[in-house]
Amino acid sequence: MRLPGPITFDRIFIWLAVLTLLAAYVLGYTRRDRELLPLLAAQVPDVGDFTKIGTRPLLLKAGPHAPSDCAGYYVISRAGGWGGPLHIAGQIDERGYIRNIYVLDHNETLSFFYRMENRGFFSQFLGKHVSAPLLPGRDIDTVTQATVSSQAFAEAIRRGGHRVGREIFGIAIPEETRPWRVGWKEGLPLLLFVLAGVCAKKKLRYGRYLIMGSAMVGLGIVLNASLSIAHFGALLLGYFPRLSDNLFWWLLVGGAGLSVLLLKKNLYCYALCPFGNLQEFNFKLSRINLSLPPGLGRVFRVLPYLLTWAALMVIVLRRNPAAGAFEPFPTLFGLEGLEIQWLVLSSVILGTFFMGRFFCRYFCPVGCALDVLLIIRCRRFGRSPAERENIE
Amino acid sequence: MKNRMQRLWALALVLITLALILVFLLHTGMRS
Repeated sequence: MRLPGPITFDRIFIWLAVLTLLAAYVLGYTRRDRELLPLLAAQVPDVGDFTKIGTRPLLLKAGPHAPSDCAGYYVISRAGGWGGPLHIAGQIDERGYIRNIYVLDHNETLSFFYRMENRGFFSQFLGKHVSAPLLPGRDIDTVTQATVSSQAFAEAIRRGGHRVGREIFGIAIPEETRPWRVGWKEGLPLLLFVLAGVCAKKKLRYGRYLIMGSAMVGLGIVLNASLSIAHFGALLLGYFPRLSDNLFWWLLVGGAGLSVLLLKKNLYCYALCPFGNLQEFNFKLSRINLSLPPGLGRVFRVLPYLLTWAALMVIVLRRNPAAGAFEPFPTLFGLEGLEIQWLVLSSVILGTFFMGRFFCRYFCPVGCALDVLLIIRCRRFGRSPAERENIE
Repeated sequence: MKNRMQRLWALALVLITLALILVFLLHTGMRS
């Protein structure tokens, strides 16, 4: 089935969108080096002055008049997370024990971050000595459904802590080795993409349903790892996570991108997206099909493009990939989020019962980004976002 | 008549969701 009416995009609007994004990028770029020290000073106002001891990572000592609970060393370190670079400051006392962890800035999806805070991720570092491994799987527990973020925060804290251990306390802490993170989690997207490719090629209807179910459980409920506009935003900002640490990230983003570029098929939306699959099940469940007033349906298909543009504007202006991620998937599968995210989720879920692929059709920025990629690949303008579900 | 009501419901759902998403983007966009 093909939905009627391709949208003819006025080139002026495309150029306007590209130019405004470029301008926002430049504006965001000029403000990129936010001073980290004022951010720390704002979180520990009682310290007074800091004495700088070293740079890379920034190592400070609290002023002589600082109260006892603020005294000691402060180390600011960074790591690459799920959504981009993050900075933390660790307070280490005179005996080498971690007293406090301050998150200075991060780009993680907010629901992931709240999940980590609520599960006490940061408090498990407190009281540990800087010579401790501070390694997920050893003496640190990662938070499920926020594994990549947990590992990134742990890495930043470990880097800072070990630096203080070596430089201030003269402890010989061996450099960490970086094994590749490969497991079932990395195999899952690879397997799903291959199977989805086979199903799309052979037009296997029930095979597709099987993949959709597996993706909903595996990528959605268990891993909470849906593709988001934050991933595309991160690439746009020039943030490329290290392959050895973030193989899963690359398999998900790479698989979605490569299936479009090589096979000319949007396999992610076709069968992998956990939220897309949920929408299809909901719609089948309700057996109600509402449609928009005549004429408006076609007009509203421009919405995903406008919203993707708005999300990317927020991302490049704030240089924070997570800031533009308005998709409700992490809130649903992680059950954490801001009030407004819960409201968006409720409204979207309601819609999915009455309109086929409600979110994909009118709002989804991921589908839109992959669609744009498909349009560029096919060098054919005018495919509507709703066509992506009919790629057969 | 029934058809018209259904279409208005659909329109309301799309517009409410759109408004909520825009509020979210404004909220995160404005945060410094």
